[in-house]
Amino acid sequence: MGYLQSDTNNVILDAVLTDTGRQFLSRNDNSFSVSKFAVGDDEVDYTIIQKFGRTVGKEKIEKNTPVFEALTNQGLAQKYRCISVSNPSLIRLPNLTLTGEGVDSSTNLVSIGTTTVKTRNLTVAQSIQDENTIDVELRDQAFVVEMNNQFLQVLGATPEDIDGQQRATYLLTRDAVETAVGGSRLSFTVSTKAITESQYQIYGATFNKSLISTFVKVSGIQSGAVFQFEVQISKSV
Amino acid sequence: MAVFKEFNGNDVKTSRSFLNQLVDIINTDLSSSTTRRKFQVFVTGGVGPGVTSSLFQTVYDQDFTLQTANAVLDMTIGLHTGSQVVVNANPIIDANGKYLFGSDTLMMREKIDLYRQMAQNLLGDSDATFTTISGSNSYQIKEPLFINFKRLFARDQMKRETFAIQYFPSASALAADVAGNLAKAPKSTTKILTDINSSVNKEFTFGGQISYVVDSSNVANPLGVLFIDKGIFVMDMSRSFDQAGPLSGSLKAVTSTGTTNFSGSFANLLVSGCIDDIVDHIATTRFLSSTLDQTAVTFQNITNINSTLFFARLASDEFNYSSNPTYTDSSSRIVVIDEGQEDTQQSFTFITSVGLYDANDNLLAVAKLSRPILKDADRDLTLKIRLDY
Repeated sequence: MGYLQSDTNNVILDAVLTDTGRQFLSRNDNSFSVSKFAVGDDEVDYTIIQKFGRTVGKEKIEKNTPVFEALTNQGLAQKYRCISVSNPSLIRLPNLTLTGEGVDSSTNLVSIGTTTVKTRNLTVAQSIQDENTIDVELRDQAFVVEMNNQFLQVLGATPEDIDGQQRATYLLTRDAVETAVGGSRLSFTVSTKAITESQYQIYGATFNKSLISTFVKVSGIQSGAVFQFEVQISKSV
Repeated sequence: MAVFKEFNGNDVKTSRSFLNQLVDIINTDLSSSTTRRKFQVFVTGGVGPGVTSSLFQTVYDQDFTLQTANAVLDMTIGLHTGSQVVVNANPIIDANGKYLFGSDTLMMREKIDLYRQMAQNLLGDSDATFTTISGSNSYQIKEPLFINFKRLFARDQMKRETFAIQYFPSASALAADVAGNLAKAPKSTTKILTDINSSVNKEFTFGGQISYVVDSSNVANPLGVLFIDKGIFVMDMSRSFDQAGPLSGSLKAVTSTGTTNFSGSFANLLVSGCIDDIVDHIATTRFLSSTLDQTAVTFQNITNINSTLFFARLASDEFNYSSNPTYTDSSSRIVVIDEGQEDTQQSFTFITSVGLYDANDNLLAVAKLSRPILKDADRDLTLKIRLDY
């Protein structure tokens, strides 16, 4: 993935179709229909503002942040999206935290197996520090959970979509019970699929072919918050 | 929804634009045997090893055995049944209309069939004759060289008044070369043909728009027709190439050795040579220069681009927060607002991409900005995103 030339001042942005876009176009059934947009800022490191202050920091981001070319992989092309909130004076934004079975709280790594421990009950919750409540607009009513359909599934749920990269997308509704600050909770059970020996040999870690690492992404629909965690699937567990 | 904004009817427009590309085909690509591919589909029986030949040859932009080679054009010849070359070969026409030629000819029926096929596709009648016109004079092309440009290069159309072809009218006429000059390049001056003035003489035929290609040193002398929609150049060999100059060399033939010694004019070659031998001769003598990599053929193509323009309108109060993990610190605090300045400062973001989504949140297309653009409560932004088809 190359960088874009920054010395151009294009007024028109050229869009490239993602793999999903191409797939939908090829169906010839009107499934390709753009209806909305989102803006992203994946390349931006906002800690520069902290380090250099707002004036110099803005200049540095604007002039010294090279931007990558567009990616066509739907799962990677726009990871972090900008959020619209009607309250212009927010100081803190809620984030998502992970708890549950097999979760290493320091690294958010989830351990799971294909022998005896095939399922893990997990909870993703909205949290915010030093605030009494989460802005109502930012309270998620539903979450999008994405995972590799070859290895994992959400028990009791059907994927909304499985794309060409074998990425299953689930749309899950929040729990009825809120957190103390009014945040939403999502409880779900992740289960491993039947993974064959040859899959372990192909997708297993180089140092240990009995271990497959994969990632699960959870996005809040209202808050736009994104949380990604690693799941390690062990053949022997 | 917090991260998405819907497009309304005024935000989506369609447009059409045209892209021109300059195509230069160098002489060595045309003349070299490594860039000119043969498809030996014609096989004779009878005496000796027989003759195998292509019906056309394909010119590539590099060694055609390489996977990166692109086919540029196909080259072949044709003969009209009324051509003097055919008439002088004294064919017998049987009751079914089949032409029967003497044993000193080769592939005559195939040459006629190629002409008829081109005439059917370009003129709408396989019996028709290609014609060039200058003023009140018209010239029939009965011995054409067909150059079919591949779609990769001709694209949707060839642009008028951009076509030119540079060639040698004859093979080498040097005394030292004359014996066996079938593949000897000449040192004489080249001739350039061009479709000048075709922008003001836009004519249509069954095969689409045409340009008459004329001698650049005498524009009243048309020597070919360019079918700009089909990307096919029909060159009148009888008037473009020297007909009198002697040619000699070895040709494939139905003999015990599989070859025969040839000596005669260009018109004789059209009768005695198989298509491969004739195309080889034209490619190696008419397009090879002592200076390597000179342009032999040049033109511009036209690609029609249909675009949808999406106007992503970001109002002042939209997209001023981010889900970027660096946007908040470990205590969920927005880092772009200085501590203690919460009353006076507001958040901002820097946008680097625009994603186009469907109603089910599938990301269908992505557009990237060349540098981050500041978005805050003081500014409205309209980003124009073009999706080409």
